[in-house]
Amino acid sequence: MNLVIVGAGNVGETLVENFIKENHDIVVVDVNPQRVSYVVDRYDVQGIVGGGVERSVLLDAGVEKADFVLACTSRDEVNILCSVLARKLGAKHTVARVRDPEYFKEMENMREEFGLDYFFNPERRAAIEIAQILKFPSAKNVESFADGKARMIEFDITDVNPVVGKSVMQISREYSTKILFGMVQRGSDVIIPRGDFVLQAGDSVHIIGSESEIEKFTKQLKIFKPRAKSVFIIGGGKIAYYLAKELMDSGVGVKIAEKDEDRATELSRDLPSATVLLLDATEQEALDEENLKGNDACVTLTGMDEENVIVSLYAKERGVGKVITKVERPSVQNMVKILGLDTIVSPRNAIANHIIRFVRAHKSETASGINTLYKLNDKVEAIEFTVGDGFNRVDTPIKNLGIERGVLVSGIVRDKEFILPSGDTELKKGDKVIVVTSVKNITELTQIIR
Amino acid sequence: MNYKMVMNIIGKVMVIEAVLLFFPLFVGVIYKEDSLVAFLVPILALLVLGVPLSLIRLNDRTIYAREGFVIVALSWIIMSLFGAIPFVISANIPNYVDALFETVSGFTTTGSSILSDVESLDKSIQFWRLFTHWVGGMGVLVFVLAILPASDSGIMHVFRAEAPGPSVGKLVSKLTFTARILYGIYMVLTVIEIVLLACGGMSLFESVVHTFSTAGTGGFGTRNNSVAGFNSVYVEMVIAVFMLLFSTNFNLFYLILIGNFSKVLRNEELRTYFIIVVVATLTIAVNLLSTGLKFWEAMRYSFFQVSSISSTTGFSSADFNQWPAFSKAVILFLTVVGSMAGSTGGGIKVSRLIILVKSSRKDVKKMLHPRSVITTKFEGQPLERSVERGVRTYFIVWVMIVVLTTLLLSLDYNEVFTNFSATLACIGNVGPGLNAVGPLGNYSIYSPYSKILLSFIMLAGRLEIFPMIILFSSNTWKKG
Repeated sequence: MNLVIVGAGNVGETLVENFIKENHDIVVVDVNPQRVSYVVDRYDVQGIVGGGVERSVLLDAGVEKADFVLACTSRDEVNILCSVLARKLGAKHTVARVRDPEYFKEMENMREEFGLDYFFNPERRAAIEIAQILKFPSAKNVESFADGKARMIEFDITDVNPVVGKSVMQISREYSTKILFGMVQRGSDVIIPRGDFVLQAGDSVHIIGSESEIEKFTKQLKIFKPRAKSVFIIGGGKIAYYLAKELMDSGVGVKIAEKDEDRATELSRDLPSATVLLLDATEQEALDEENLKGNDACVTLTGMDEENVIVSLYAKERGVGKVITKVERPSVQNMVKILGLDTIVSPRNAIANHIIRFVRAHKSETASGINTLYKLNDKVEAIEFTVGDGFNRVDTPIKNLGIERGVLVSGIVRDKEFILPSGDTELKKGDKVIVVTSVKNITELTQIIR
Repeated sequence: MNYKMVMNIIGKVMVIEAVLLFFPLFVGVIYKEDSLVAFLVPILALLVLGVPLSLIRLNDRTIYAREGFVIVALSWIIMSLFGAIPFVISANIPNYVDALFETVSGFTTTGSSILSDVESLDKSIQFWRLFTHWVGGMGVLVFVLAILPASDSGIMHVFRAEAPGPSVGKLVSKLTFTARILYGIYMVLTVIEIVLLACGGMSLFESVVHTFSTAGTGGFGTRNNSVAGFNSVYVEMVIAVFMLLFSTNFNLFYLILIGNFSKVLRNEELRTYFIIVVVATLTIAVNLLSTGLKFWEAMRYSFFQVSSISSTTGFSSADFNQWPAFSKAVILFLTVVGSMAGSTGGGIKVSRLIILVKSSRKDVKKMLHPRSVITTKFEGQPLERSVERGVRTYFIVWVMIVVLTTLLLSLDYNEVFTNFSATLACIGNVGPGLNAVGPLGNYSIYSPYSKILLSFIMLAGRLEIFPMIILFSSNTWKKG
C-alpha cells in the first residue's frame, strides 16, 4: 500500500519503523530537513521536506494515490488540516493525531464533517495502558481482547517462582487453571511454547485468560498484587490528565505532582477530585513530605526521561509497590531495564499497535477482520479476529484445521465467555479468536491456515 | 564497522563482475579468439572468493555512512584489480600496472588510455574494455541494489556514496525500485543509440561498443583517432546528442516518463547546463573561424567537442590540441565543470558550480550588509546549510588534490601544463587532456607510479572524492 506519513517526530518514526517491516511504500513529509534525512538514511522510504498543509508538498508526496495519509506532527491543527486537505486531493483514508483534550472531545463529533477516517491520541492511549497495568500490578504489561473479556499479561519469572523447571503441560495440570502461555522471551529468543516447553528463571512470559483466571493463577504463584487504590503521578502533562480521569472513574485516589504553577492550576480546575501538588519531584524531601511511600503505585510522566528514571528509582527504593516509568527514547528504554525498572510505557509504542491494526484491517476484504492487534516484539504479534462469513472452516476441530507453524490459537471468547482452546475445540461464527503468531502481515483469519 | 555486511556486499559485487565477464567471453567465442583462459581465470577467481563472502550469515544488517563509503570504495578497487586480469593474460596489455590503469579508466568512465594502437586489440578485449564504461557509468552497487531486495537499514548510504551529485533523491519510495527505474532508463537509451548508430552504417560490433562508451560517458573507442576515424557527420551528431543525454540527470527522464514536463523545464541545473553547452559551442565555433574553417564545419567540430568534454566522455572528432588558446581554455573549463549530478558523467557537476557561485555571492553581499539575513535558493528550495558546507568542502578538497597530483606528476614528466591537464582529465573522468596527453597522445608517457596515482585520482573523481579518502583515513578503521 502507499502510505504518506506527515511528521517525522517520535510517533512518525515509530510508524515508519513498523510499516516498513510490512513492506509498504512510504513517503515521509516533515518541515525539518534534518528529521527527513535522518529517517531517509535509516529506512527505505522517500523523504520530502515541506509543510503538511501545503498543497504542492502533499502533491509531491503523492497523496492523491495514497491509500493512507497519517498526519502525526506535534500540532493538532496541522494534523487536522493536513488530513482534510489530503482527503480533498484524493487520499483514500486519512488518520490524524489529535491529543489536546478539548479538540479530542470535539473531534468525536466532527470526524464525519472533516472526512477523517480515524484520529488517534497517543497520550490517551498510553494513559489507558497504564490504567490497565495498575489493575494488575503484578504484570509488566497488560493487553485486553474482546472488550476486556480476555486479557494477556506479561510478567518475569523469578528464581523463587514455583513454576521454574516445569513444563507448560505440567503447569496446567498442577494448577488446573484456564490460562495459556502465549509467548516466552528468553534472552533475545522469542518462543511460542508447546506443551513440553520448560520454563526457566529469567524468562518473561505472556499468559492469556479471563481476568478472574489470571488473578487465580497469579495468586497460586504468589506474585499477585491487588489493584492499586492510590496512585501518585509525577508530572502533570497530557498523559497525567487522561490517566487521572481514567483512574478516578474507577474510584482510585490520585495525586498529581506538577512543578509549573500555571499547569498545576489548570489541572486542579479540570480534575476537581484529584489532589494536585505544586512540587518539583526531584526534591526528595518534598516527595517524602507528601507521603510517596504510602501510595500503592507511582507513575512518572514528566517530559524528561532522565527525571522519570531517577524519581522511579527513588520510589522503588522507598518501597512503593508498583512503579511505572514513562521513557520516550527507545535507546534509553533498553538501559532502564538494566536498572531494574520493569514497567516502561511510552506513547509512541502505545499508538503503533492501533494504527497498524487500523491500516491492516483495511487491507482485508472479508468479514473475518482484525479487531485488536498487539506487537509483542519484532517477531510476534497477538491478534484478535472475529469469525465471520469469509471463514468457511467453522465446526472443524482446531487440530484438523492445519494451522500454520508459528501460530498458536490462544483463546476464544464466545458469548462473552472465555474458552481455553484445545485441539478438539471448534470455531463458531461470531467467535472472537485470539492468536499469537510469528507469521508476518496477517490480515485475516484464513491466513493462519495452511 | 559492520565488517560482515561490508564483506557480504563486496562478495555480491564480485559475483556480479564474474557474470559480467561472461559477455566478453562470448564475444571471444563468436570471433573464434582463444581468449577463453583470459576471462575464465578472473571469473573463477571472483567466484571462488565472492560466493563464500556473499553467503556470510548476517545477524546485524545495520550499516551507517562509514560502511557505505567503505563498501563503495573497496568494491570499485576490487573490481578494477580483477577486471585488469584479462588484458594481461591475453597479452594485449602485458604489464599489470598498465592493465590496471586501463581498467580503472574504463570503470570510472574516464577513457584515458595507455595504448597508442587500439585497432590491433582482440575483439573480446576491445569489448571488455568498452563494456567497463557501461558498467561503471551507472554504478555496480546501484545494480546490486536493483536486483536484491534490500530494505536493510542504512543501505541508502551505499547508494548515496556511489551516485554522483551533492544531494541524492529517490524517485520512488523503495530504493530497489529507484535503482531499477534508473537502470531501465539507462538500458532503453542504450538500445536506441545502438539502433541509430547501426542505421548510420557502423558495424554492429562498433555500434554496440561505442554505445557502451557513450552511455557511460567514457571515451574509449575502437579507432586510433577516436570518432574522427568514422569521418561521418551522422555518427558524430548521434554520438554528440547521446553524450549530452547521458550527462543529464536521470531523474529528469523519470519526470518526463511520468509526464511532469513543467518540473523538467523549471530545473535550474538543466537550464544552466544548456546555457553552458550553447555558449561554449558558439564561442569555440567563432574562435575556430580564425583557423580558416567554414562556419558549419566549425560548428560541427565545436558542438561535438563541447558535448564530448562537458559530458566528460572524451571522444574527439578533431585534434583540439591544434586549436587556438581560447578554445583550449574553454575546453579546460568544461573539463572542470563536467556534467549534471545524477548522470553518468563526471566533473565537479553543474549543480555544485551553481551552489558555489550562489553561496559566494551571498557571502560577498554579507560583507556589504553584515546584518543581512539571506536565504539562497536552489531548485526552488532554500539551500540547506549542510549541503552548502558539503559543496564547499568538496571543492576545497578537490583543489588540493589537483594541486598535489600536479606536483607529484611533475616529478615524473617534465611539462607542467601536460601534468595539470592530465590531472584535471583524470579527476573529472574526461580522458584526454591537452599537449602530450591530448586526443592524439596517451598516458604511456608516465611511469608506473604515476599511473597508480592517476588510477587513484580517477576513482576519487568517479566516487566524488570522499569514499576514497575515507577508505585510506586511519579514523575509519579505529575501533570504537
